[in-house]
Amino acid sequence: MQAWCIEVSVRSPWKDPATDSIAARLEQAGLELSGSILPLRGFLLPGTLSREQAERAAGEVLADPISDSWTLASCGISAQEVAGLWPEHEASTRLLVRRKAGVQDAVARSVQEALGDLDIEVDAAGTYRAYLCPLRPDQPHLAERLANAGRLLGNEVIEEVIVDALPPGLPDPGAGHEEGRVEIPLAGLGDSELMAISEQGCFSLNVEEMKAIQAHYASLDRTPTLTELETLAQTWSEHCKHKTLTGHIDYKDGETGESRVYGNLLKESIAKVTTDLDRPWCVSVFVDNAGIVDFDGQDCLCIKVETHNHPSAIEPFGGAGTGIGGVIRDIMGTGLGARPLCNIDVFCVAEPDLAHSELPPGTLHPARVLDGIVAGVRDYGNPMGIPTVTGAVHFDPGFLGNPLVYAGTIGIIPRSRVEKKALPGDRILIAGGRTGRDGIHGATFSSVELHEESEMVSSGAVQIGDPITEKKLCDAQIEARDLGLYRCVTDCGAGGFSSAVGEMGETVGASVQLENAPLKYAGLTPTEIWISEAQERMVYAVPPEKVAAFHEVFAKYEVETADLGEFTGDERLRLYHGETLLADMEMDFLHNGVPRFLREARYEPRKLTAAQSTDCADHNAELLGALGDLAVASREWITRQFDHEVQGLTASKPFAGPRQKGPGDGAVMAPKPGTPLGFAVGTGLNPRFSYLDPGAMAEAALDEAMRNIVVKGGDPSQTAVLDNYCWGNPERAETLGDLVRATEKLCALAMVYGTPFISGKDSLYNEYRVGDKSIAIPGCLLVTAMAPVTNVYQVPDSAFTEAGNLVYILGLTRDELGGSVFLKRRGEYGDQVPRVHDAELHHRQYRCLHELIELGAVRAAHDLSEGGLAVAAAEMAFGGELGLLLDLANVPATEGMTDTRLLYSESLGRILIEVDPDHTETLEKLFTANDLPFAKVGEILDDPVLRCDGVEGTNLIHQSLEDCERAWREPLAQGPLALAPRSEDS
Amino acid sequence: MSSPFDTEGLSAAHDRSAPKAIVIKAPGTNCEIESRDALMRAGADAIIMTTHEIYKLPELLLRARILLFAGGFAHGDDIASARIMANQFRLRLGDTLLRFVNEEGGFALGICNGFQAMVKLGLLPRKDTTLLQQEVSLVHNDSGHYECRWVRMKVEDSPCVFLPKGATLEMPIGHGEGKLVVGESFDADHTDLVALRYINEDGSAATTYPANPNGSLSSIAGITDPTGRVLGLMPHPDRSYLPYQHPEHHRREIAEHEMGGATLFHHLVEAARNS
Repeated sequence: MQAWCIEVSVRSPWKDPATDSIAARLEQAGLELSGSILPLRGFLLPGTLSREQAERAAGEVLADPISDSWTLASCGISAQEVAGLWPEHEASTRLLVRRKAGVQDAVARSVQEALGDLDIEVDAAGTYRAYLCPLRPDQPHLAERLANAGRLLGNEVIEEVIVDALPPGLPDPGAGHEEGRVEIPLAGLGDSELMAISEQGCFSLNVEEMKAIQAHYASLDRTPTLTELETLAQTWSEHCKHKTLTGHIDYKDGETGESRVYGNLLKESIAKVTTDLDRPWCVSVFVDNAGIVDFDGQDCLCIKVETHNHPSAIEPFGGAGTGIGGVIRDIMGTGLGARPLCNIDVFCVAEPDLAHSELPPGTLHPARVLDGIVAGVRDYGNPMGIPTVTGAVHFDPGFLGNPLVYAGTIGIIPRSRVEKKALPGDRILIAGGRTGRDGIHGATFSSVELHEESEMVSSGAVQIGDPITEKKLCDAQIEARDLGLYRCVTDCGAGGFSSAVGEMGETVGASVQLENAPLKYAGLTPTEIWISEAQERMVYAVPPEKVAAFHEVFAKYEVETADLGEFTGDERLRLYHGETLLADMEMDFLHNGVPRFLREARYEPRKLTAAQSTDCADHNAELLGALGDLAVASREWITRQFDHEVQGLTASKPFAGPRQKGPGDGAVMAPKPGTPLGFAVGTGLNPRFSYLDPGAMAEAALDEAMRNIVVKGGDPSQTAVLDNYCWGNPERAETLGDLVRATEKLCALAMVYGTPFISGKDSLYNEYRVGDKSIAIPGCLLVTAMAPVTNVYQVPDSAFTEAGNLVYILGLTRDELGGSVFLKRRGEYGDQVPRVHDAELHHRQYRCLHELIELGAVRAAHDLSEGGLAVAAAEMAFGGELGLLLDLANVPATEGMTDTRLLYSESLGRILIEVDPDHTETLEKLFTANDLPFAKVGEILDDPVLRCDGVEGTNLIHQSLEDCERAWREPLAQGPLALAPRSEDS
Repeated sequence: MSSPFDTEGLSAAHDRSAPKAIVIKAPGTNCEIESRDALMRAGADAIIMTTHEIYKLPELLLRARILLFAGGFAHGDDIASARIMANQFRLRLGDTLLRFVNEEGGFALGICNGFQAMVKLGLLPRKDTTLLQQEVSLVHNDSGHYECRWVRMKVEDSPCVFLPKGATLEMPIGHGEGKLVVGESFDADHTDLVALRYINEDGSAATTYPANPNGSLSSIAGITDPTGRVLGLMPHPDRSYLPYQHPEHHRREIAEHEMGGATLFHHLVEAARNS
């Protein structure tokens, strides 16, 4: 079909702010520019419009009358005419990037709506970006460089690049091969034939599972349909079922020489902590989409953290965006639907200054991965109107090829809306976005390793989110919930309708008419409709008498709804497309028929070598170096792109100090304006410790999350925690052994801290395979903690507040440089990794600090983590714009500690606090009475310098706060793409 | 420190002289709840209405004394910020809005995305008060990305009838498209329709990042119309009306009247009550 092409550019004297960063990317690709580039926004409209209509669309809708210029052409014009579209740039080369057909384009849909407002009805539209690039003539390798540039400007997985031409026309998603009932005979097949079917169908089912299915259908004496096999593959995927962690594990502990057998690791470790602690404020744990705890008797808080690693590896923007979109839907699908309050994000990527020559084939450069992840989270979280209040970024070479994106959401829900259940006779209603061919096989794709061709074969698994559809859905749902219009709700996540309907109908049964699902475009096969993981959809169980009111409320918010069928009461799952019966399965086999795994796990303590470099000659230089290390440096470039203020409920923000220059710890939210009651949320993770001891890594994660809560006024005796594992391939006994080790250490510590696990998730197979070699991530356990805060006005700052006040350190410093930033800077790991040596003592210390904060005695508090005492003290000083005189002689420590170890050991359980002279006695009495290690180590000065004297009384550090702050702020100030790659030989 | 909260403001619904306010919610608007809360706390009787409801019965808008165009991402800010909402309002509600501000003497406040909508539908600056025509625009920040931070503003000597002249207001911004640019008809440096300018700590007009967070021409943060009853601004008074929202509340006691948003809403509601 002929189409109109409208191109819009920013009009001089103004400039598109993307101009310079795009030019930088072109130069990175080797292209030599002879002037300024011109970025264009392109729109495609059907050729059935008259020229007048197309001009009106351009002038009134697509271009801004004050700041833009535009041009209109027909798609079929000659190359010469294309060049002439922007006469001032006639000699420039045109690089055009457009999404592949079928990839979601929310703007194109909005263009249709906007034209409808002008009474210009169109049934299709498209968008693209283009850049007019003035290239120096006679460049060598031009074609190759242009191809490189194309890859840097677009992502091949979802986009295509066109040089010096307009798009041929409107995007055409193509028609699927229409499919009726397709039967897949399994009878009599051997193992290899069964596996061939599994691989061909992208089912990710193993041979035991295929045999179980074969046996089941043999007992029924019939042939399974393709739709049935797909449904089983989705429901039984590692992603949905967590077969490894709930399966049998034979564990050999190489540290003690003992062996243990777990019948169900999750149940016997994590869940057991929660059961044994039996906290009355745990309202719902491990059963719903998120854990639910009581907040104030009237309302509950629910919290969930998810990962979206494989999609983010291949398409960071879309993967991270749909990751946050997915976890928000988990909260919308908890109980009868909670209202989201805040988001949490933790990213793990390889160091963004990686030399290009070190990039494995098929991977995106880590700078680009991080840039895309940040943009993806920003462009989903901000439009949703949910503040992103805390998080972290970790850099480690192990994340090359397989970055981690943890996304979490906390919501609030009335206690009376926690229970839900679909009843026979309820209608199955769906609401939200339409179903498309995007996101087919996401659940099964995430249950295998990534490899070189993943980016091509898995493109269907990658999606682009549409936050506004989800925002409308969320708003409409809360009104429908409060009107009591439905009995049950769940989100469409991995597995799409198949998982959502299957889950809601597990005990009742469901009959589904797939023809009723609204589609983004024609041509989907019924099975595709059933398993599509298209985003922004929810499923509801609606009593028949409330169906009309349900449709009406959603219409008020401009959300599309449809009736997909009925919850039946016969405990079967039946799928129809028109008259055709595509599947007829027992719910029991679907949910309970998966054979259980037996896996070997073996933990062997690492053979570690003691660090060679444990001293440093120049402590001034060392401090600046540590502050500027990527492990420590400011994340402000990221944090400020995430709205952390929307909703007006954020009572403690990511920055501290009078000019918000210093880093904060956890966040505090006040969800009920008008009351000072709040809650604190914090996270803990240190992937580097995993290389020394995964058990230590797990302890450090929980301890850090606790410290972040406590310094922000959270009550340690009412803290709930979440466990989120990201691990490598569990089919290797040592990889699974590390995981068991981490779990055992985590659970032992959680029992002492009294922190129940209320939700968690595992993501396995986080590896990237190139040929025979696999890059596995370091086993990562993210712990997220949440606790109530009695009065948000009593929460201390994370930076110093007043000269003359005194600084105390809480906790014992040990010879624990292992895994520290100090050794990292010297290319070493060392052997003494920080451990929790006395959990009771840590717990007592956190309770005492909480008591002090409640008394109003603490002016500032900051936890010691990466970079140890030196970094924490500097952060509090430059954040507060107040100097510090720090004396190492008094720091409570084990025997024989050097100045370097006192400054840079990363021992756990330590916190720096600022107390005014009136409160020192209270502090000292309380901590002495509780037999806790603490000491006065410094005094706050007006003079803006950090001074530190060593154990022997010699001056080690005399550094201006301005220099400290600059060293910390600058490395990532312009974002990861602005970092120069390390030279090849360094 | 004791809690400086007072909850009396929330009982405005019982106050017969409380001016009625409508908070407008388009698909993608996401600041309607805090906007309503801030209005109520300042003494207004505020409700939220979706654009879907308003389009069905535009005259309902005339029952209010205050219309608040709330922040967010109307229609996803697809094409450009607030473009689709602005077109819909111009085409479907243009006459009603002109009647509201010109004949009924109503007040209108646009915050962030609401300001973008007002500007693009021509409600601001509206030099010819009888005409809806776009004269200025709000475009991508110079930084090229979304930005969330606290800023300082000075209340300029403009026709705005409710802002306290000369006052300094602190509020957070949260936007990607907040740079004000002008067409030929609007002289940014000399017009008296600039109601709010970004300032540095010493009170001088902020011309550089980050005090001017988006590169706005002539440091403009907010503008008014010739009637002085319509105001639009990029920073968020709806995120700065309670003391715990202030980033320094951990360091010093902050009173509600020190909050930039509380000040703005208080004066707006009082002006509407007395009109």
